[in-house]
Amino acid sequence: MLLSALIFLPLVFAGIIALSPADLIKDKIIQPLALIFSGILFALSILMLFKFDPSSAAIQFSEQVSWIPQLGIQYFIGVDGISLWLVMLSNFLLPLVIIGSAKSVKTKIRSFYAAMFILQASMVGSFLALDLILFYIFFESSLIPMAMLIGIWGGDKKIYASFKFFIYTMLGSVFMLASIICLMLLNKSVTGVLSSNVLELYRLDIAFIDGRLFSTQTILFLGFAIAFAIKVPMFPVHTWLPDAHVQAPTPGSVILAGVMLKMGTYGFMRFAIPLFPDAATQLAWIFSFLAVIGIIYGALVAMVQTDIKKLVAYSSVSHMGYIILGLFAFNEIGMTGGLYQMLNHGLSTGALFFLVGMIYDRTHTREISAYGGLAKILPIYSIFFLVITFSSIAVPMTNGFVGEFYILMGAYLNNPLWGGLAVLGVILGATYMLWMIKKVFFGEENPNLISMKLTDLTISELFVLVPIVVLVFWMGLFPGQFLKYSEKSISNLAKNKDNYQLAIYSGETSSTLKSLLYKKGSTSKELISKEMNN
Amino acid sequence: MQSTFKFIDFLLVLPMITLFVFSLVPIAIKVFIRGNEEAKADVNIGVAVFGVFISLVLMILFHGRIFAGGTFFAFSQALVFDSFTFLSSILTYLLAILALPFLLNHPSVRRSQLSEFIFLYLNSLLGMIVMLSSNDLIVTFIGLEMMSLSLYMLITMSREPHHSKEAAVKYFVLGSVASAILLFGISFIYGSAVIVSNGQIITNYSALVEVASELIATDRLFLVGYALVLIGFGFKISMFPFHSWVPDVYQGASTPLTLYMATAVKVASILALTRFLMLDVLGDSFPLSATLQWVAVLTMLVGNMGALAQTSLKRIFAYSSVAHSGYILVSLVALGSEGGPFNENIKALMIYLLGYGLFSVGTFGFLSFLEKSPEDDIQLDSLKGFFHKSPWIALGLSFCLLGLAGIPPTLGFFTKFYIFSSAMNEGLYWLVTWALINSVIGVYYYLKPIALMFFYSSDEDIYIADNQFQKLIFLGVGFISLLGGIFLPIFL
Repeated sequence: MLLSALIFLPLVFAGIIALSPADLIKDKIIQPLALIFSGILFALSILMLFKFDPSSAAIQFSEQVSWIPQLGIQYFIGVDGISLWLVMLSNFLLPLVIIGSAKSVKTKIRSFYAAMFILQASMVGSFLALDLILFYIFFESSLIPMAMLIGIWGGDKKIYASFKFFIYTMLGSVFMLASIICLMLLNKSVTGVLSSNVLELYRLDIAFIDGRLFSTQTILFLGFAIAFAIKVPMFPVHTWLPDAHVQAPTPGSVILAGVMLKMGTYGFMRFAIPLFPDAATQLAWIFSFLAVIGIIYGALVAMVQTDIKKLVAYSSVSHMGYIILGLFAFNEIGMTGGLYQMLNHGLSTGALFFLVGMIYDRTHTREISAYGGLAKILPIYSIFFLVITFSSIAVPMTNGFVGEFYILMGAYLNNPLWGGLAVLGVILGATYMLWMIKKVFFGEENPNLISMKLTDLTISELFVLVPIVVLVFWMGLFPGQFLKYSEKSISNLAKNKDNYQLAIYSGETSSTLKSLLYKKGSTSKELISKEMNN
Repeated sequence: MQSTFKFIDFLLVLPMITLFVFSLVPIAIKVFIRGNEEAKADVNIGVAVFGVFISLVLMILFHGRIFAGGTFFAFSQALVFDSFTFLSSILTYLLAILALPFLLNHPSVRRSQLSEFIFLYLNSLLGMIVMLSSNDLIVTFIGLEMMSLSLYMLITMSREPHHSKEAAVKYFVLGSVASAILLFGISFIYGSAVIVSNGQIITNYSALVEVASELIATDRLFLVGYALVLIGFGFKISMFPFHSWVPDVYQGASTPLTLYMATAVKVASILALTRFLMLDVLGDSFPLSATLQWVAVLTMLVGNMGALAQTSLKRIFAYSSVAHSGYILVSLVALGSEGGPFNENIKALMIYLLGYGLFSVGTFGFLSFLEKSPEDDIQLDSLKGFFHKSPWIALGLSFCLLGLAGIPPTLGFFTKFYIFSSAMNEGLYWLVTWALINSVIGVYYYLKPIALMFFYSSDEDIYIADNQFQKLIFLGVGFISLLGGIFLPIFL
């Protein structure tokens, strides 16, 4: 029930906010109300974290209810070490975003917070869904509220951006839908039952001929991969991202960069790679190649931006490339780095968008040339910006370092070429960020800025930034405390990629034994020995 | 041929008789009671709704309860009553009932001729029911003509002076040609069937099925006839290249009538075609099936591309209806490859038609709210900022549009998923890929009205008709679109 609450409570909250009569609940208290609601959700997710058993790779807190038996669709959700942190991330960012939007969103407040909660529900839902159709529904549902956020509260070209965002992502995901249907029919032809339960589909042996360009498995894999690659976004299909980011309001950008992009990388980890291991291995070089191109290209383009927000958006393209590179290294180190980097990117890029939004609220410009010497005018703001920049460019002691280190090591172990090329990105990343820092915060003070009489960070803005900065260092200094939750799941994925199976967690003491009973297909002896090897 | 009519035959067609009797009631009241004076609009429409409802109840009672869902023939096998007839009739009745209240107070519906309007309306519905329960090509034709002739007249009865007349003439001329082609095809089929059955004239479907596979192998003329009948139906269901009348006629007809044509009429024609396709010729004739696949692709493309270029909402919805014919054709091709009386594919088709019908009631119903005078042609731009004036109506329309676009979590997604998975099950992978690409194109013009309503703000006032019934239906449809998916298992 805990996980269902995480998905459906936001919908209830959205309903309360949208439908509450204006004379009973005034517009003024909508934002505090939303904050309380998001606090409840965060508390629930903390509860989930405490109850989570890190010593198991199985699906925990699972809920399985038959929904549309005629089409083989189930309501099947659960959490494991991979999805745990992503759920935590989205529940952690939501209260911060709500605090942060008090200033930047002033019109149509009710619709805004309602859209925010609907978005939250669909994102958490897609991290928790273990049924392909259910996942697809959540994955697609998130488009509507996000397009609304961009389209209603966005900048000058908001409509173009929101359409581009919607249609781009939709185009990718219909191919995934085709693949899902194929997969279900394949499963039907083998087992006789129509089912989109991922745990069952993992067991499916899909025809694959090595050396052939297109075998069944490759085509199905591509269907999934295109959808996720657009969402991530990977190099050639990234063009929607800068538009969406620049036009979106600050809260929208934070959620988009912080959580929504992770739906793509999570999709690779949960679905595309374990469902089609042979095809993923066969095509891994393409994805690694595109990831490296993305890393370098994103960094180079970021370097020539004159708009801070666009710079951060392109840096996002570069950073997401690292995650893909880590995942397609197919070793434990690389995948661990990939997952960790998802969280890091969520925090640091989210915080960067917050910071850009805060300065934009004060000066109403995002042009780098309009700034200069900001460190003297807004010292506290500058400190925060610097810390987050360090996290973003992976300075040791910050979380970014841990993630990138893991990824580069994993990539190097897999193929020294990719590892070597990706290191270039680290240098370039430091270059464009520090170059921007130099122009904005140091050097001659811009006379316009002095005349504006800017105020430094307010208390509510500190409430947004301080938790993120704390986490930046916490995650940078003690990564083990976070990684211990995901260790089992990731090593299960990395080691058993070609024969991936997930069990349903049952009880704390004899978890492995009971979960073995669930797997009907194979004898328990084999499985026990497999489990031992792990 | 000697015909004997049994009592049970009349019992089976009692719903149709009821419908006909009720179609006479408003005219009878006008002529005999009120001395050629029109009764109140509410009364006329109330009688019509009541009549359709009673007919529906009789249908459910007789077929669902008393005959317990078996297969029955009436009038020497001219009519068939099986689960397909039953479900498709219910679907048509349902959509016809939903369309009726939109006639109330609509500016382009003539008050002084409302009873005649109702008469024609119910008779076109009767034609559809005849068509749906026909077991004989000639009876199908009679039903089709009954439906079409009533519609030709209904279109001209609009108060709008120019477009409606043009639309009626266009529809009439093209429709008659299509009917002629249909008849031509039927004659070919009969002609070739006579030869194989030793001079006996085979007219009903159940007998044709038995000789069909033999005819395909031996007689080219049979296939020609089959194709001609497909073309005849293709006109009614707006299949490419026989779709060109759709935007003009839909635009010219008064909006409540367009609603009726886009939902009940179209659904009934498609289901009648389905009955014909159950002859299972497509599965045995590769060229026909391949052609129909290409036609499906082109129908989708033409519909979607056409809609992209429009600025008038009514024309957008008309083209969207063409595009949906394309998706439905995908399902029909899948159906043709398997055959059988009542299989998974037909179930998928029915659910899809239910979804499509309901969402179209929403979109065209929305237009009929907004029209203030008969000449009104609602443009896309006039929707700007609509959400901030009338949030509920805007949300209702949005859900209907998202449903038509097939975006989860609306019901439209599930219905699309169902027909696509049933088509893939038949191995039509490339066809489904085309359909999926098309549904992405469709997203653009379905989102555009939503974007205009939500993303802009405007000071212009927008007229909205004040009618509780219509709003209730409209919001109900929107609600079903939003939550229908969750309760889908009930329908299946």
